[in-house]
Amino acid sequence: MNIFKTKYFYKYSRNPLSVIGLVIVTIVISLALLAPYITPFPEHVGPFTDFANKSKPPSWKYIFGTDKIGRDIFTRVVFGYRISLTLGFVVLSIAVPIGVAMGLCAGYIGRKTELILMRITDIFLAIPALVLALSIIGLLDRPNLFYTMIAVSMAWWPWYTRLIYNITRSIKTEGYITAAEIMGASKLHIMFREILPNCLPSLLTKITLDLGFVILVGSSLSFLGLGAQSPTPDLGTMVAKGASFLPDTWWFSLFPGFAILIIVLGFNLVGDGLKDMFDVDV
Amino acid sequence: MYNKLLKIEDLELSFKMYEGISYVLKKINLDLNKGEKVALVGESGSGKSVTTKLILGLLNQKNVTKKGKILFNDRNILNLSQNEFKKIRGNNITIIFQDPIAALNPVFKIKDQFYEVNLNDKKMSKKDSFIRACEALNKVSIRDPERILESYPFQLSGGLAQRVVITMAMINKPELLLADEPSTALDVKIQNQALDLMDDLTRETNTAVLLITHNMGVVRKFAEKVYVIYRGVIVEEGTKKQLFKNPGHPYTKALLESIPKLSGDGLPTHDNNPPDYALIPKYVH
Amino acid sequence: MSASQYFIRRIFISVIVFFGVSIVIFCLARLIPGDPARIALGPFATKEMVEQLRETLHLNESIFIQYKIFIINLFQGDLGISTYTKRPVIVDIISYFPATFELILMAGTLMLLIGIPLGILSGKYKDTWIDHIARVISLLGVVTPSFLWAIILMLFFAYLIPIFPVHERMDETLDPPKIVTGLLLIDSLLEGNFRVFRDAFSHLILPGFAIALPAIGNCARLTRTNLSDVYEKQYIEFARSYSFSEFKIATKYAFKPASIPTVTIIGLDFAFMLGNAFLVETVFVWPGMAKYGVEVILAKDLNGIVATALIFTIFFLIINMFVDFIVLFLNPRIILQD
Repeated sequence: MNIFKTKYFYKYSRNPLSVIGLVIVTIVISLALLAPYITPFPEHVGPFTDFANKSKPPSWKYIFGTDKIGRDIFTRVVFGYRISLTLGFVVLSIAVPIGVAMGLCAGYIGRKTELILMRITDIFLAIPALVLALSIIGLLDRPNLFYTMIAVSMAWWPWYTRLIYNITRSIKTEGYITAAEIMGASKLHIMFREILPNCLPSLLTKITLDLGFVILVGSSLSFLGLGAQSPTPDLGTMVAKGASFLPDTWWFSLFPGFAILIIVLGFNLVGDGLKDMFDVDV
Repeated sequence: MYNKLLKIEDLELSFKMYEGISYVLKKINLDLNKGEKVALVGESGSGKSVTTKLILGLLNQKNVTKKGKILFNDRNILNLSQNEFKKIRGNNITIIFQDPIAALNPVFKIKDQFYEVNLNDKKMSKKDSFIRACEALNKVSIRDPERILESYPFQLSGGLAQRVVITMAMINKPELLLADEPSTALDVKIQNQALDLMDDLTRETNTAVLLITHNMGVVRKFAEKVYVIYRGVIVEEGTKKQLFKNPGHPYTKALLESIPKLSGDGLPTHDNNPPDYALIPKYVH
Repeated sequence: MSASQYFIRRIFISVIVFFGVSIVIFCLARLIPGDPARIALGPFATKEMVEQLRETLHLNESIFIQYKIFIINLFQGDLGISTYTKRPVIVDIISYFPATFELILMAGTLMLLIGIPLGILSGKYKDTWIDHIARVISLLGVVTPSFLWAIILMLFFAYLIPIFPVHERMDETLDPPKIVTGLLLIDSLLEGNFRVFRDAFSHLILPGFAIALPAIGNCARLTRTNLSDVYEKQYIEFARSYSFSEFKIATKYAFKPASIPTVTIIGLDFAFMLGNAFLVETVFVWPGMAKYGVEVILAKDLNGIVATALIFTIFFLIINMFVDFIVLFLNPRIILQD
């Protein structure tokens, strides 16, 4: 089946913004995957100094200029995308299964399970995401990327629980569910083979949008100094380190900053496009 | 000619879509006299609802092509400006919808909605509006109109809500009342009551009614003249007697036959390969 | 159920949630690797000093007892001593929280004043150029991290066109007004001191916008969606059929039903803004709870971290309750329907 001819793709491509978003995301992911091969100075990502070329403004050689110790910012930004994307995918790989499983159980099994699971979810939802993530990281001994991923996952899973819970509850009484129950299907089967597929459109949309927002929150954490440490090129850290040198060497902060903006924008546009395409509400 | 309140002449409507052009109305002709009760019968998608939108000028979609005339009191209102329509809507032409509770704003009290209907093109204080609404509701034998006016739509039963909406529609004594599948959302007994009410009120003010429906039972009870529409084409027109006694067009026959009879003949048989009704020419009694 | 019943039920739920949150935060604080006492005292402290601190902080007791002590102390207003500022945490809270509160209020006001009208315009003139421009602005607001907005605003309005200040809450050369509420804007007005009022206001503008811009974007988008959903509803078609004035429809008859789902999400937007406060206060050197929070996190000050998390959570819970009441006011169904 040619994917480009399906009704879904047609509807999606009607919206120019969604197409732009897809293009952005594709470009960024490709850049990240091919980073070592396409960047001019991949060695600048590790421990590297070149004081002769420090603080150089953008030029043909150094497209985004160099930082305080002579490293090419363009290369570091592209590698920085690797970190951001890894963060996004890992966080969601943890948060989504937990959240979905809890939501299915709470929504379908009901009664005591529902009560306990949803109260726990409410408690976690009561803490603003960044505050929770900050607290978790702050309490771990040395901030690094791994801890950031754990912390953000902990803040993210309740949203999936709530989403899946709502959907499960609304389709619990549908005919095909009752039919499966009568035929003796196990609860597990119903949850994962009947209910879950119906959650897929909303789930996919939310995951796409969240990829952007996780990167946003992650870069905010690194901005505060709680993410990946030097010399790893994390976009948020780069903005933070460059902030003290504004406005003269504006390229230290602005290019990594815009890099974050672009990828978040990309995922957001794609997510919005999916939202319109599937006609869901997350 | 000048007796006709509403005369639709060769009305055409088409939408431009991805798949091509969709012809919704293909040269419709329809007329109404003052105080006459006319039914426009057809199934979903036949174009009957869209006709009411055109009469009121509420079709605001893009890529729309309109041709022909809608003459209201000898004035072509097909391409009137929104400002001009404002004077007509709610005053000379009013409309009631299928689901009365959905037609009322859930977060405002009934009295507030009466206020806006009363306001229309004139000034009126809230107090006067309240009194006027009370009188109107009293007339339709709604006891306790004050309580109703202070309520919210979800607090009313379906039948009560429909009576309220009908009252709203008639309070400014319009010349033409459009009834778009009235009471389809309600049960039969309530439906009948609503239709009786409509009948009484419109008789009193000599208001013409254009009743849009797919329900032949409603047509039989209420209408004087009937137009049958199929896929944007009028396939038959005639008085109620003529239509029910001697349906001319095969589509009309099929519609009448699909009503299950209580006389014990069992369920109607269904023709699995109906002809293309649109190709069969119009039958005029 | 009546309004007061609803009120009591909400408060009850919030209290339970608060206790739940306190347990979660408390457990996180106690279950992380590393010895809090050792971390607080640093690598040069002796074993005896560490042990003594552990005794003082009750770290050798069971976790249930520790929690009990924690809660008892909490209700007495004792949140322990901050190993970072070396003073009682409650004092830190009183010093720093008003600044953040004022900032969030400013951001919230901006969000409502700009976000909602923008959303209404977008929804009313859907798919016209007005809508497209508004949507682009909203989108940019949502996808740009707060700290980037902070930096951009700084560059523009402090360096390029120097109108607004970028540090602290007030000009150091001016005398601060007498502290009544802790909110400079109110305190200065109470004194009739307009010079300080204007100064405090100009200090609030840039950080306020930096926090608010993502929320403005989100609020505008939501209002737009909800408004255009409402415009599709039959009661609006009815309103148009009866010549209700378009203006009244936009501002009243469509707006009120649309505002209900919007207001609910605005509560969440506040959560979002609370998070952004951490970033913006750092960039603008704003002496608030969030900046304090970042510092105690970097300093591994257990009591400070727990207190910060609790304060922000309480703030958020209160905002949510407030939002629920507004919804109650807008939507008669909740009380009247059985």
